[in-house]
Amino acid sequence: MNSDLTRRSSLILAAGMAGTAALGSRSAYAATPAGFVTLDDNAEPLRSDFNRDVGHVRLLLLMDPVCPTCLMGLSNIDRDLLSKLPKNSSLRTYVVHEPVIGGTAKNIPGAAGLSHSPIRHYWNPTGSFGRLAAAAFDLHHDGKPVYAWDVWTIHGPEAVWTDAGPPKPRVLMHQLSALAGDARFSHLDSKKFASDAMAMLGSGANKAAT
Amino acid sequence: MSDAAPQSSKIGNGRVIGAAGGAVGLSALAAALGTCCVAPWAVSLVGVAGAVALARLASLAPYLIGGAAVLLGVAFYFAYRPLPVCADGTCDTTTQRRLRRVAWAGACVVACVLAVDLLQYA
Repeated sequence: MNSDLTRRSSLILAAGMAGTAALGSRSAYAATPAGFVTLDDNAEPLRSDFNRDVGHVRLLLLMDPVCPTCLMGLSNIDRDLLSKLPKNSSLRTYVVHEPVIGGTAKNIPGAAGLSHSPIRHYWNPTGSFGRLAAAAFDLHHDGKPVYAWDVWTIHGPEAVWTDAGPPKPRVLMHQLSALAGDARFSHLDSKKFASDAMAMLGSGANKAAT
Repeated sequence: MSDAAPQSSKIGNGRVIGAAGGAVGLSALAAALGTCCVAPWAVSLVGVAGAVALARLASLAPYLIGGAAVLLGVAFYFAYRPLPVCADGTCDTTTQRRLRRVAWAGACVVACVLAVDLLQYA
């Protein structure tokens, strides 16, 4: 009797583990295993990851990991969007951490803890990505470029990152006082951001959830 | 009448000092909340969750500034309101001058705190 129960329990456990391993291997997208990946000045490997995920709605979020407003933005987006998506959602989320007001790589795990959804975190130690994104997204004020941080973007499934730089997003919101008067971009409203992302996810052009 | 006048002026003293002090406190709190949003020290001081909470409270800063302005108005009202006329000339005017200095000092501190806070946007 006891040996039957033990054998049955072992079979169930083995089946469960095999099933979990199978599910994991089917998903090509997963949270950054080591916590974050360091970007080079060509924005690799973010560019490769972004282009590999063509066909998916993608969020590209730029922040400093010690900026309270940025952290609030990430927390709000998690509350209003990321936490409401199913585990196998087709949405891809990339967060680029930049050293704007003193953030360092060791601050990233704390910021990453604000969301339990699978997010790929990148660390840009030179801050070059903010300049690249500012040029690509055409962020300027009084004729001067505005460094891209505390910026929250949604890219459609068709977006491709070429040699010219990251593609212009379909939606760009920010929490920058320098862009406050720019009619092209609105201040971050996480509920509106979430509804825009959900609309894109449900539009049918998106790849099926994996 | 002669007993009521000193009592009333004591209450007025308390109101001026309390209102001016309250205005300084509210403006300092507004400045702290406004500064936290661009200050790297918030995370090391209160952690990530605490920094997020402070950022959420920062939206209250304009109301705190409004409250400080109202309290300053109260302080100036009690500092400058006309004193009861004393036929025998025994009313104390020294205290009234001191209270006006307290109200002006409070206004200067509030202005300086808010000016420093506004520098972050310059």
